[in-house]
Amino acid sequence: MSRSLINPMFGKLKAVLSAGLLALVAVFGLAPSAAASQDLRDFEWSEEVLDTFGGLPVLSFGRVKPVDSMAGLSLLSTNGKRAVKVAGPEGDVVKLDSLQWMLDCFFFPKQAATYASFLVQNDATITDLGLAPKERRDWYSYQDLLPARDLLGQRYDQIRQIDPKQRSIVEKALVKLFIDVRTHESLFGTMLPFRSNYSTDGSPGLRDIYGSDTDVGLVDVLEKLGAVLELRRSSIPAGNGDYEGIQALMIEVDSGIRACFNSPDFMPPLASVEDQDTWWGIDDVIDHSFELAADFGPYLDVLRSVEALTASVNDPELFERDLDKLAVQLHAMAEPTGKVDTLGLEVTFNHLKPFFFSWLSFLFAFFAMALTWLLPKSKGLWKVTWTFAGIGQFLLVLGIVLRCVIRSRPPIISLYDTIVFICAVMVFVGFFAEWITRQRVALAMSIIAGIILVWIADLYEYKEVKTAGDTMGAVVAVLNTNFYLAVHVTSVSMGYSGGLLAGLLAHVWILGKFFGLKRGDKQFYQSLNKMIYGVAAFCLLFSIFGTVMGGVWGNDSWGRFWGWDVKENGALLICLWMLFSLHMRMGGFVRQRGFALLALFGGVVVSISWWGVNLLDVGLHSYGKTSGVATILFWFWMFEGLVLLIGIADGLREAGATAALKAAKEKPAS
Amino acid sequence: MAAKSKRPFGLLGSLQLACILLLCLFFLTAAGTWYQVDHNIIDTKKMFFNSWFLTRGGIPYFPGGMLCMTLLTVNMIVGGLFGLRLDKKAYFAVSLHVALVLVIAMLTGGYGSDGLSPLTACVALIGGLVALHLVKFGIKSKRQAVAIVHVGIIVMLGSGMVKILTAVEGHLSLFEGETGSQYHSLSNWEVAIWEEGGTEEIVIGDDFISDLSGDASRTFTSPKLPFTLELAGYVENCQVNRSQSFGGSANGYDGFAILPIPNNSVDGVNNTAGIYAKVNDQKAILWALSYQKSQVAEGDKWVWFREPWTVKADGRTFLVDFRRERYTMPFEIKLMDAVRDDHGGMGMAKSYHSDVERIEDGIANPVRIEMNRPLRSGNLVLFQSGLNETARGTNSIFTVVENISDKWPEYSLWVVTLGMAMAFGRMLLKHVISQLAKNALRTEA
Repeated sequence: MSRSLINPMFGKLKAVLSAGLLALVAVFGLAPSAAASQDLRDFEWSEEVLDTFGGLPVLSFGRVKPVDSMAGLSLLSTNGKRAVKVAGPEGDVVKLDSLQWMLDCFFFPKQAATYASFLVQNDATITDLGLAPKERRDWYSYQDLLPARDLLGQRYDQIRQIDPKQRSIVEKALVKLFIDVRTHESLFGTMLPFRSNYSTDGSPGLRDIYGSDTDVGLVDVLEKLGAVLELRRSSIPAGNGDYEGIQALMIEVDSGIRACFNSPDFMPPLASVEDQDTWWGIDDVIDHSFELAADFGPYLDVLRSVEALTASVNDPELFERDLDKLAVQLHAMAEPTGKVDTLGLEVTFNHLKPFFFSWLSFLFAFFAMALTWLLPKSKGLWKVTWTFAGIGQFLLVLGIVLRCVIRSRPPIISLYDTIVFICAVMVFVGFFAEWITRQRVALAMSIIAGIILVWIADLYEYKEVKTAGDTMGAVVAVLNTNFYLAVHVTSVSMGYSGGLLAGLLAHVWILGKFFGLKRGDKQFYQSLNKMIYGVAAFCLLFSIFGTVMGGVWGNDSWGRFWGWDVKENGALLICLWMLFSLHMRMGGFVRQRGFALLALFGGVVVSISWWGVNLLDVGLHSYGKTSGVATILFWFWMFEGLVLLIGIADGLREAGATAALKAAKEKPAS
Repeated sequence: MAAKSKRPFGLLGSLQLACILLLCLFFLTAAGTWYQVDHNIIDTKKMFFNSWFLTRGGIPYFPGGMLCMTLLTVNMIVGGLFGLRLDKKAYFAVSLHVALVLVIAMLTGGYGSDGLSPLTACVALIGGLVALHLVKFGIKSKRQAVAIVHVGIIVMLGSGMVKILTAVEGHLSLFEGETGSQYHSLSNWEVAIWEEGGTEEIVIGDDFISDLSGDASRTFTSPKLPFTLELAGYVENCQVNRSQSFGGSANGYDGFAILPIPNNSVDGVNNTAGIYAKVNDQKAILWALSYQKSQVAEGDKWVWFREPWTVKADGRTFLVDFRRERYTMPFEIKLMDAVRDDHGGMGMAKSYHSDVERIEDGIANPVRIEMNRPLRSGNLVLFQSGLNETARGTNSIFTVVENISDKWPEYSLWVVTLGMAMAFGRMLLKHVISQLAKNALRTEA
């Protein structure tokens, strides 16, 4: 959004706005030593307040979402968790959820500044700022970081000059820390303009406009802004001192804008505005009040409610009523944009936590399944396993469906989505394979896949939120097609699922043979091999369809069917490897063990395509380069290499034993 | 003797060869991917995918992508189609399936980003054919399904080959209010000659220029020209400088020479080609510094002209321009409005679109071109590929592609999908039936 300022003085002041000034505003406003008793919260936020506040619409990272989501994602991004541990009134540790934290940031900033809500992964970041680090990985409060606030701003300015690809780990961490600090400052400052009064007795003209009350609130100032601007226009030739008085008032108002600079975009666009995508923060509204004049009414009403809310913060009952009033106003303004229909559903989704409970169900299913290994004849335990696994899958699918409905998009628009989707498909295919074979292998692998992948999704959510701000966020222009997203991306991901599941089943074959599982049961291994084959075929079908459909999409978007881009190549690698594996089996060039080894490596190829090529950071699809992924991939590949070696060594041993047996049989005959 | 004569065909159509080629392609793709970390895509394609062999010091050490794909196509035709030894009836069935899918795909093709109904039609058709096939042939149809897959892949590879051989691709850049009917190639160059004040151009196309690298030269004559033009030393991306400044010796071009430099961007769009030109005793280095204009080095005066090279012969004045190859569309495009929409509160574009008028035979039709919704007219397609806000106004860049095989990959995809669905569906059904029967027996036991 471009700000067009009518007032030239404001343009000038905006130009000198800098992180240093913001820091000063924050320091003066937040110094804990100056905290009066009313600046510290001595009551619990009521459930009603949390519900109402959490349901307010806000535009964040290109998407209108409930505050509940924004608070959760903001805290997750800076703190690594959706909750923050703070010291309780009796010296105990109290856990605040994201909504409580955000309310404190808005209404009790001095208190919120003491919350250790900045996760610093590497203590070298803190040392770089000249502060004393705690543990290697630890949490810090805004108050802890305040002595180095200016230095942090300077370091940020220096690091910005360096190519992002050339930045060190500490430099990247400093950039992230600076952004987190700025985010906190925006939240701390959101209500600051309403906490001050503005002097209107600077000139006779101002006194005429504002009357006897010479110390008024922000909204009163803005309400009569038209008359003030008119007075200023006429005051220069008159030379009666009004101009200086008005300038002094304007500077005070501008301080208010700076205090809440970059505050969350709570203000929906007016129905009369053509651009319905741009929402405003409180700073934007104050800023635009100079040009909106006649259309400013609805915003003024909202600002008045916010002002009342700020005043009533220490009176819980009144605060609740004021918050309800504000909620009604904001929802009424947001309704015509057509972007708030799913806010309630999103809040439900947040509270339901379907992926967490899905993971929990898979975990219970695993324990039940482990018990069946001890008591293999217990049908009841097996039913319990199925039940928990089924509940886990249901919750997983429910989560995916809810996310689709919330954003009106197909299931996959981000890397995070791919993890949960691939997991759901793997579990589903595993269920189907178990239903056919009933060997308890496919179900076991489904459950293990469910536990591992949902856990990875949870870990990765933090990474994605840290870099993109949201896991349901805005997408680039080329992804504005639900058709291709639905067909290409889901097909490729289904291919990934098949490749990974085939690889997982191959582990059972190879390690089962090595450790003597069901020794002598040839039928078990034959059936398992057929299962691997079927799942590999599933992988091939969807990989080829998805990959070629990606080319068709490219052709429809840019006239370019295939460009040998690294991500395209990654998908092609899966197709080629699966074709190679299936042809090797079809030609009889490999038998059961050989095919299991090929399928195992197929899983490695999928990991390369899914995550590995992103790390190269080149090409058109250069998304998803995430710190930490390389290390995990490295250890995954090492483990897979080890299993491959075990499989090969065991095969050689088996071949040797067979040859020896054959030789022994032939010896007496000769 | 007869058996021996069939051997080469047997090898060409063998599964062994198919496996070796697939593995080679796998390694080529992996190596070509890794290579892109330090090299641009043009060099990568040249080395791995568009080559017959990978060479070191002129000695081939690994088959290139072109060789592998050609052999794989032959392998599929020999082994995957004729090697399956289907009877006439089965070949007829395969042809019928392929033809049906192709016809339906063509009828429903060009569905763009909203084509759920045609997609449903294709899926329904494939599903129907699979079902019919299973009813008609039971589970004995594996070879036919494999044949269908191979036909689809052959069509897909063939469409790529047709595109390489025949397609034309370029850019059309328009400001709001501007009209244009010519687009410029991204990688091909041409020399155009015309008499001052005249309108008729004599054009020497890229085919006659791009092979003039090194010491190669070619002389061009025309009854319409009172001189011969000699072109030599073509370089696809270069700088022109004093030859001594980069270690060369002063040559016949007044001490200036062309210095080859690496490709400028991943797709070569920003390359600046150069070539030595000679008309009688007049010499010039033609250096195409922009899409349309040439620059000429004139001796040690160090003067660079943004106009074409002026040549005088028989008292007449001619202009010689070295520029990106131009193609003319059968209609004109007038850019009315170009819009970029951003996501609220972010600098990220949500969509780009251009409202244009397509003017043909004096009749203007309004059309909107946007991401995922190109303008299609026969084999010519205009894609929205860029949008810049400049001081002069909003500039919209369209990628224009003329390719007769434009939709073939899409059609072939449905053929491949049909074949794979039949092959794997058949196997899955067979396996499920037998396994469920086993399970039932086990339960009874």
